[in-house]
Order: sequence, then structure tokens, then C-alpha cells
Amino acid sequence: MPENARWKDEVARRLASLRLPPEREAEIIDELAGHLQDDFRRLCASGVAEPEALEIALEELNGRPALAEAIRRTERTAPSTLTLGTPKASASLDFWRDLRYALRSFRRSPGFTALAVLSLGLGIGGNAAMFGILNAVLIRPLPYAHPDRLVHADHSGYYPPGGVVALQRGSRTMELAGYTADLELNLTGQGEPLRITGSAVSANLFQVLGVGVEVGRDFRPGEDEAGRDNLVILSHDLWRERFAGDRNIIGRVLNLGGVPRQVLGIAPAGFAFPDSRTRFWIPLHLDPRDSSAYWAQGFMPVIGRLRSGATLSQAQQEIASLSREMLRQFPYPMGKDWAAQMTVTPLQQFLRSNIRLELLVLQCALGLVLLIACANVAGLLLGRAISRQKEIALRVALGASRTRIVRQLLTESLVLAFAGGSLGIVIAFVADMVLRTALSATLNGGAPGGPGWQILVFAGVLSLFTGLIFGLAPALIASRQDLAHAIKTGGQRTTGVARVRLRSALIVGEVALAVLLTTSAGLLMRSLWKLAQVDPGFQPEHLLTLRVSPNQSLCQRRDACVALYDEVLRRAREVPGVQDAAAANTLPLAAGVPASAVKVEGLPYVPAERGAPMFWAGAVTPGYFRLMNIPILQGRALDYGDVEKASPVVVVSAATARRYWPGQNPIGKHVELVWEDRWWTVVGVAGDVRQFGLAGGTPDYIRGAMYMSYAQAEDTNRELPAVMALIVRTNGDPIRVVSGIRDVLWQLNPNVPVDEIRSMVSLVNESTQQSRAMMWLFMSFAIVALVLAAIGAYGVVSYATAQRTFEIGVRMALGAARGNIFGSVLGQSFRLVLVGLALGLVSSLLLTRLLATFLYGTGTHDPITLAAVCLVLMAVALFAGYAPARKAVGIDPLIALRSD
Amino acid sequence: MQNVELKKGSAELMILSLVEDQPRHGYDISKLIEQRSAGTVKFRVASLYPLLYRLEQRGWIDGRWVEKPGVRRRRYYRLTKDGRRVLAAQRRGWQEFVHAISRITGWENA
Repeated sequence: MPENARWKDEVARRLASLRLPPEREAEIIDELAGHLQDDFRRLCASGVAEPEALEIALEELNGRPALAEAIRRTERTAPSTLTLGTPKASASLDFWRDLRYALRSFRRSPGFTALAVLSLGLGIGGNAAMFGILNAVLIRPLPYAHPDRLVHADHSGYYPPGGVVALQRGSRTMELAGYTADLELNLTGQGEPLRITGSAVSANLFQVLGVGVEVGRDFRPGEDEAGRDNLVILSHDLWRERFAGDRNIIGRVLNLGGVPRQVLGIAPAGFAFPDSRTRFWIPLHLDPRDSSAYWAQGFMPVIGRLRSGATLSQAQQEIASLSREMLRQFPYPMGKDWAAQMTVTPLQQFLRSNIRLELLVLQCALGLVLLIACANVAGLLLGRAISRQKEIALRVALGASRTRIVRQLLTESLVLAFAGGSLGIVIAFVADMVLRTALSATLNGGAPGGPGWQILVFAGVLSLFTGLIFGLAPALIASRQDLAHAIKTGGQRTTGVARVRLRSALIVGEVALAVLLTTSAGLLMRSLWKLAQVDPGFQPEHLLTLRVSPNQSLCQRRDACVALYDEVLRRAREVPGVQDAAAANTLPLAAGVPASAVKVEGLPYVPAERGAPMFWAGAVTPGYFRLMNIPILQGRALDYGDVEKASPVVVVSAATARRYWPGQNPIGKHVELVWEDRWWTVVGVAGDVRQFGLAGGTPDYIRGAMYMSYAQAEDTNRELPAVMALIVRTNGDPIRVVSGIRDVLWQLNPNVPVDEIRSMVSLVNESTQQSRAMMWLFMSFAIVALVLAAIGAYGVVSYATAQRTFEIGVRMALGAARGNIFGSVLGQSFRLVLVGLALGLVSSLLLTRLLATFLYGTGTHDPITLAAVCLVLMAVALFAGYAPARKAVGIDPLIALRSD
Repeated sequence: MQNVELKKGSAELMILSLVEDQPRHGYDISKLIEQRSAGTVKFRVASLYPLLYRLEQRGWIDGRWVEKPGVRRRRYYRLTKDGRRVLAAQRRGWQEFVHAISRITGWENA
């Protein structure tokens, strides 16, 4: 009896000429061979001799048409090779067929596929990462109980301690709490001295936020009153790192800022209010008997929780009226408009308002990149669809419905989008790191947690949408076929008007969006360049700065503090490599605002109208101006004679002198600190220094700047500043002297923390970090956009040129000059780009206004930037048109005319 | 004629009818047709299977490989929903056709 293999051989031999897909062929052979075997066995069983049975069974394979022909007729149109319009087939079956078909066709064109997937991946990944950050910062609710009920006093809503208490007692609509930000204290007696940031808060702060402590207990009412306030709550991180998570810490006494404080509790992990740097909370020190401390110092922000039933607008009205009533309680006159501006806003809005715009602008820019990527892929798909006209036409002729064709083309675009989305997720995780690094200055720890599941969901939804958006139009257009024409010409010279128009429109749109991004990047670049040109008013080269932070208690005896810094400076100057040294209570370009309210001689002081002007008040050691190379324009600098007992003197900035004593000699004029009763005499005028940032950024309530001699200085708390920045000028690289300076300080007092060691140059660079981050981000967006647009334009032009081969051949045969041909192809590229450029410039003029707040020294309609953008786009047009134009010139008329 | 024209029109109807109640494999179908027509109608492998494949492509029948222990695997065909509709329509058409022929040829009265 022949083996089953024998039957298989017989069938296979007859099907060999068909060249069926191996899988399908094997199935058919299996089935038919099985049939023959069954037949043969039945015949044998019924008594037919084997050789005869064999012959009868094999006879089954003969027929008219022959087996091969009959199978060919059915298999030629079989779906496993080509999806036909078979409306009767089930939809899910169609889907899998479409999917297989799409994958196969992508494998055949790896260049196209790689380009499409990469552009989508970049677009989707960037957007998903940005969304992750946006979500963490702006959308995700604050991690407090009923965060929607939390509000914040806004519009310079800072209150003195007495004001906070008055609000707490007076408010019917809110439960209120005050807190200070950036309170820095030394933690000593626990190993190396540590300078840590924390917050002094109303006793009910935790209650207002709706947060409990993890270990121990929270502050009780009244524990923020002077005498009961030597308490502290530690952050979870500090507890873990410094005290190894020891629960017995509760009740122990720590030395914080030179004051013994009992540890009451440990905050829950992740809790950080008002910001991520906060490591401890101490109660406010409320002492109504000290009226200047109670009403004139330590103005602080206030948060509140709306009581049940109270609305935001009721709270807003109430806080305005309470603030008005409060005016009478101040021991010195406050400006009238102080109370008029008081209002409350939702806490989340308040905390995020400063970074909202930046993040939204970036998200929009990334959205544009994605749009460009989509347009690019749509263009590519359309181009592909056009070159597949004949195939599509054939399938329509064989009965495929239009829906069926659209569905298949859509499947292809969805497969692309899915691949792009998967790549996008990978890119998103990288982009998340890049964005967080670039935006670190802005976020300031405000976006906790790395990329989360939201990124995955967002990327998924985005790729689905993009797949539908960029796939639909090409699919619809490609499916609208002029059958007869397409089949007859083999899809070679049918440049369907709609298709080319749509493709050109896509490119024009892409170019326009790229122009928008390039213009934005250009403006930011120009702004950064302008910033680099700004004279900060001092020479940062060869300067090293470090912060020396003794406890404020050290300065209770002024002469101790003065002597300490005298000695620090004397010894620092002896360190090898150091030329000179000075100290100041704040560094230029740093965010610190030591401000004092002053009365100015010659300026009528009408407190009820506008209050006293606030001055930036520097406390500097003699030699500061020389060290920093700040010019003294008039009079003299502060010197060693300006000691505590001598008559108080100040040096004012040039701008201050111009503002208050225009056309007069400022030397010999006077200013007075509002809480004092003695004149400070102006002895010199110094050049203006950018104290708040290279771009200016002086808060609008700061009306002037003055320098006091350290020995005479007073801060807003009427004390001599204990924490000072030490500045040394070095011969070479400032970083080399760091260890020498640290040794000096260590020898003088090992309990004084030294930190923030930086060169002044890096400080200057840091002040432009945000601008640089924005510029680099926009620059990379613009580059991606330009590359995509260039590739898109190249694709259209080279395709159109290929379509014109015949026409160009005819023209050349008729004697057209090569130059003309070259020009006409290049011209097409330029037309596309120019239309896009025009649209892009118009939209830039309208939309770059959003960038205005990030720009310095340049308007949003900067002609130089716009001109540069035009040049860049010309280069793009040249890139897109040159190669096709060269190719067109190289066409041999004889070959071109024969080709069709 | 019987083997060509008639078969062409009725072959589909026969196959669809045979798989209406239960799934059957190709050999089973060919033997049933032979038996029930008492040997009058006979399909060869060369014409039966291309026809089955065509019906499957149209979505009227659905073929599946079924493996049972000790027996070689066979492909069973069953009627799909679409196939059921087509079968009903073809049956009606066929009956009308046979009816018409009968009236014309006078067999009805015979």
C-alpha cells in the first residue's frame, strides 16, 4: 500500500507550476492526498486489486479544467495573497488579513517604514513625556484632603504675624494658616553641621491642609505663641537620612538654629509644603508684646480651607474687608491699596501659576511637532497609495468595495501608528528625563514621580488618533479611483489632481508649522544672545562664592559677628591663590531680596497714600566694590571707618540717585529706615548691578538699591545679618582655592555650615538657565520640524518629477535648455516652500506673542530673526529641489520617450 | 451535458445542502453525492476541491482542520450564516426552475 507521502507527491507534482505560498500549498496537498488515500483504502477494502485501485484513485486528479488550472482560478484571488473585496467575509477575518498584508508590504519598503515610524515615535514620545509632566504639575490634584477647598491669599497677599492672627480670628468662611518659605536653619550637635530649609507655620497648618503626622503628634492650638513654641516636626526624608528612621526621636531635643527644640512628630512620606525642599516645620513665634516683630516683620503668605458651605467669592470678599479693617491695627501706616488688592485664589492655581505658561507653551510646540510628523506620514502614505493605484484599481475591478479598500489602507496607517506609538513610549521615557533636566529650574521639584502609566495611556490614545487622522484622507482619496484609466496606464502617468494637491497642501502645512517653530527657536536664541550681551554691572571672572551660615544668635552681639567676618576675610586673603576677599548678605543675580522700607529725603512721606518705598538693602564689607569691580561713580565707597559707632552711611545705585534726586548731587542726601529715627547719609553712588537676574526681574515693589557697611547694617528683623556670602577673587581657576577656604572656616568654627560653593561665572550662567533650556528645547523641535518638512518636500518634488519624465523628455527632444528644466523642477520646490513660509510667517506674527514673557531685549517681530528663518527655509527648498532637478536634467529623451 | 452544465449550476446547491446540518469533510461530501444520486452525479477531486475553496472564499462555508486521535487530520466544512441565506435562495430558485421545466416539457401531466 502506498504511503500517504506517495499521494502527496502526486498532488504536489500537479500543483508545482502554480507557485502557491508554501503554507497554502501544503494545506491543499494534505487535504487532497487524504481524499485519495481514503478512496484507495475503500477500493482495496471492497476487493479491488491494488494496482487497479491506485489507477482509479489517481484518475480523480484528472479533469477539465485540469486540477492545477482549477486551483489557480480560485487561489489567484485568495485573500492570503491579496485582500479582495469580499463583503461576505467576516470583519475580524478581514482585519487579520489586512494586518498581515500591511506588515508584509512594510517589510518590502523598510526606508519608508523606518522614516514614518521614527517621525511618529518622536512626535508621540515627546508629547507623552510632556503630558506626563504637565499632568503631574498642573492637572493632578494636590496631595491634600479635599484639595479643591484649599485657597491661597493672592496679589502680594503677605501678612505680618499679627495680621495672620487677625485673619484667623475674623474669618467666618475659611480656616486660615500662615507659613514662611525658605526658612533656613542650622541643625547642629548631630554630626556635621547641616543647613536645612524649612517653614515656620501657624499651629493649625497641618489641620488646614488635612494632613496628619506619621509618628508622634501635630502642633496643638496655641503652640505657635512665644514661650510654647520650641517644637519641631521633621520631614520623613530628614528623619530617615539623619536619624535612621528612629521612632525614639519623638520627645528628644534638637539644636535647630541655635535654639533647642523638642521633636513632636514626623510628617508622612512625600509631604512637602510649601515646596519640595522643606525638611522641617517649626511653629511661628507669636508675641503681641513685641509690636514691631508682630506687625512690621516676617510678612508671610497665607493659605486657607473654605469652611463647609462657604464659596470662593464669599472668601474673596471677606479677606478684602478683613484686610481693610486690619489697616488700623498696624503700628505704622500701610498704603491704602495694600488691602484693596487682597483676594484668594485656589491653592493649586496659585502654586502652579508661575510655571503654567511655560509648560503649556512647550506642550503646544510639541503638539506642532506631532502635527508635522502626522502630515509627513500622511504625505508618505498618499505617495505610496498613488504608486499602488494599479493594484487598488484591480481590486476594485475584482469587486472590492470602497469601504473595504479604505479599511485596508486605514489598517496600514494604524499599524504604522502602533509601531510609532511603541517607539514613542520608549522615547517618552528618555524625553521625560531630558525635559525634567531641562526644566529643573522651573519645576523646582514640583513634578514628583517619574513617568507613570498616564504616559502609556496618553501615548496609546495619541497613536490611535494620529493613525486615524493621517490615514483617513489618503485612504479616502486613494480609494476614489478612475478604474479604467488607472489599469490602462498602469498608474504611471495618472497624477490625480486631488492627490497631488492634497500632498502639496500637506507639505505647505508642514513647512508653515516648521516656520512657526523655527521662528520661536530663533527668537529665543536671539533673546539669549541679548542676555549674553547684558552687562551684569560687575566682573564675575575669577570669583568664588560660598555661603557661611552661623546661627543668627551669634549676631546678638554685633561685635562678635563683625569680628568673625573680619577674621574670616583676613585669613581667606592669606590662602594661596587668593587675591582679595569680601562678604555680602546677598549675591548679585541671586533670588534673595533683602529689602527695607525707607523714607527718602526730599520725597514727601504720606504713608496713607502709598507707604514707604522698599529698597534692596545690601550689607557688604569694605572692599566689596573693588573686589566685584563695581564702579563708584560719585563720592566714595564704604570703608573701614564706617564702623558701628560712626555715623551711618549708605552708597546708593546710580538708578536710585537718578530716580529720587534727578539733576541734584546725591552725595550728602539722606535716607531713613522706617522703624528708626536716624538719618543715613549718602556718601557714594555705585554703578547699577543686576541684583535679581540678567534679564532684570526686579520685583516692582523694589524702588531703589542701597549698600550699607556690614558693621552698621540692619536687616528687616533689625538684626545684623549672620548668614553671609563669602566672595574671593583668585589668580586662576576659582575652584582650586575651595579647600583652602574651607579649612580657614573650619578652623575658625567647625559648627558653621559652609555650602553653595560656586564660581560667580556659574552663577551668571545659572541665571540664564531657564532661557537656555527653553531655547534648546525649541531648537531641537525646530530641527526635527525642518528635517521632516525637507524630507516631505523632497518626496513630493521627486515624485512629481518622476511623473513628468515623459513630458521632460518631449521638451528636451524639442530643444529645451537644460537650465530651463533644472529651473522648473527647483521652482516647484521653491513654490511649495515659499507658500509654506508665507503662511508660517503670518502665523508666527500672531502666535509668537505667547513667547513674549520668555524673551529679553527682542520683540516677537524681530526682523533679523525673521530674515534668518527665511534663509533657513531657502536652504530647505534647495535641499528638497536640488537632487530631483539634477535627475531631471540627466533624463535621456530617447529613453524617456520609449519608457511609456 | 449532465456532467457539465447541469453540474455547474447545481453543484454549489448540492454541497451547501450537504453541509447544512453537520460539518463534513471533502471525501464524505463526494461519497454522499455519489450515493444519493445513485452514481448519476460524481465529482472528481480535481473539480470538487476548487469548488469547495471558492465557496469558502465567498464566505458561504467555513473549513476547519479537525484532528482526532489515531485518525489523520481532516478538513471539515460547515455552512456559515451567509451560506445559509444563499442556500435558501438557491433552493427557491432551483424549485422554480424545475417547476418551469416540468410545465414546459409536460412531465407534470404525465
